[in-house]
Amino acid sequence: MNRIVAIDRARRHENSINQQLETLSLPQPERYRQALHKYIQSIDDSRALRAKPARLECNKSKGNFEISQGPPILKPDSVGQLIFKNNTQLAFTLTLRDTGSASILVAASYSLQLPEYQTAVSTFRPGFFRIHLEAQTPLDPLQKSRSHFHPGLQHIHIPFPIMEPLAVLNFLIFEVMKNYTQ
Amino acid sequence: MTSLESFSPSDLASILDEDPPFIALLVHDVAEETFLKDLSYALDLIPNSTSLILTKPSESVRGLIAEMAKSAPQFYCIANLNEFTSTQFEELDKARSQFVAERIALLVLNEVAMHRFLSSAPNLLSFIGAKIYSALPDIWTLTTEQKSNRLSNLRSSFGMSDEELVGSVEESKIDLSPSVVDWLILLDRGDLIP
Repeated sequence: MNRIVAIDRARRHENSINQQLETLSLPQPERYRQALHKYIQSIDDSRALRAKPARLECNKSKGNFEISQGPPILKPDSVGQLIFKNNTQLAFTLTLRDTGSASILVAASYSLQLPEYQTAVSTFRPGFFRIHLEAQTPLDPLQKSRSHFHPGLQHIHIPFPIMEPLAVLNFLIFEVMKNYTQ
Repeated sequence: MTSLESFSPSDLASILDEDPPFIALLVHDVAEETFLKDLSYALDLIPNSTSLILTKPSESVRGLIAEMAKSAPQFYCIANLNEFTSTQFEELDKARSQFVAERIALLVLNEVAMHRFLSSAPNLLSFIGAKIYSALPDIWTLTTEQKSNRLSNLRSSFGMSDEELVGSVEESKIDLSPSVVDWLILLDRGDLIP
């Protein structure tokens, strides 16, 4: 295959990702933080968590507002992530930029650490699912899209659509986690 | 102050939503503006609730009552009562019929003003009962220890120092993955994020 044509196609995809991000208007950072806080409270109320959730953490720098529940990538010694009763762990980090009346999504990371799952015939061990939105088009857009998904493999980047963060969390918690053991 | 239950804006919003008081007192010793902004954002998320209305400092009780009558939200918050004298609280007590049962009123004042209120407004106090809360700020910021843990994790997983990371970003040699973005924000180099 002609690599130049392929790169060109990948770049067109990246342009469309960037355009979609421009139109994805989120509430102002402090307001969105309250919405996320309330969302996590509702998860806790549903008794799905093994322990009381850690408080969302915020960090600011030069107009960027980072809201995080645990670190961007889960490690065995990570703290702050959500721990579910089925031993799944979820951490997420969102970076927003305040535009005055709203905010734009600059970067995002959702890291799902999955427990080992035994079926009748085999042991399924994907380890993790991660969804990443990088802060700009990657150096090699053919290798990975700015918005991508790691299906348990660090060097595999499957393009992932632009979605509102609360919709991604909902998808991970109520669909992926639920269907994982089915 | 220690005898009062303390709530952050998000917790207080849940209480006002689940068990709406007719009238409540909020005693604050935190930055009022930030607290009320956070509280109004949290209240906005409650279905069917109207936003928090901040009553401006009123010159007189009469003016305050006129403002209360003018605004018609389900919930209103009267702040800036710190300068109210005992006489003014007595007047407010006499005008207690202005507090309508279908609405929730939250009176915001500091501890000194609260003591004046307690001794001057016995009738309003009987409406308030035990609904006296104290304000705690919502703590969202990372502690220095959390920051340094996160930084050392990033340094070891990338095998780079802070300076090397900043250099690579400046020379566009590295993708701005969420971890790199996190690292830049921890270093207060958000200016390198496009």
